[in-house]
Amino acid sequence: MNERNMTDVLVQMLLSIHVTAVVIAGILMSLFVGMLLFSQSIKVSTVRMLGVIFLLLVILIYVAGGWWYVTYYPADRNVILSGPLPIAHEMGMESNEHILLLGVWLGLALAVVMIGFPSQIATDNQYRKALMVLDSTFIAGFIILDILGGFIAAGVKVGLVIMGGG
Amino acid sequence: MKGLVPALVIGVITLAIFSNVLVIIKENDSAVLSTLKSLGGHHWIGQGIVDALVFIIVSAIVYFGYTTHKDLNIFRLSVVGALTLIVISGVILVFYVIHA
Repeated sequence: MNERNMTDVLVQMLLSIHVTAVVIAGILMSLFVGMLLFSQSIKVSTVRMLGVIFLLLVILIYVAGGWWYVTYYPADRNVILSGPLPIAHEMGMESNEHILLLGVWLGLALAVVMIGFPSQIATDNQYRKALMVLDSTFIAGFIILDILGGFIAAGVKVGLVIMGGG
Repeated sequence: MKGLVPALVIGVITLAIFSNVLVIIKENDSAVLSTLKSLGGHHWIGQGIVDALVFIIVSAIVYFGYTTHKDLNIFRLSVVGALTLIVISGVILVFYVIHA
């Protein structure tokens, strides 16, 4: 495998890791909201374990997505801007990168609360309801970012088709 | 430790508002954009660093400097936090739709 191919693989890996981590974090938080809603007794150890997994996922989302965005996205941006869907960058990616920053800090705060206050979450109704509201906000953000991500991918795809004379 | 939860939520609310203002300023002022670029090599990293500082400093001030917040209703504060994040995300989207 030559250097060019290695770079291509790394780019796709980073992007896949970022998207996969976002999806898993979204599913994890959905399950957690379901637990908070429907389960009368939640194990303290379960809340803490979910918090640790969630923390790792949030860090992965930021590092993999940020690394890809800063290092490799400029090539995609040029393709998008020269194609028929420049708004995929101008609105899609520009919004995505800034909403992601908010989501990362919300995610980190949620993870700290889940790791640091699992017994309150398991027993105190006020903590439970607060977590449900903030987790649901994270899930809503994840859905928005997923839609924007699809839009950006569409922008790259049609840009490449046009460049290829398709 | 109980005061940490409201401190974190207030930190996220402040960060969201600050970050949104910074987005609008940097898109309209090339000097601010250049400063953010020089801070982290890329404006997004620069903004991430500034956002992190705002979040950590505000959360620390609220946690260490204010004691009565420990009686705050965490649920109500979380609703305010959630609404702030939703509104700010909407503002960012609308801003870039207009800016595009």
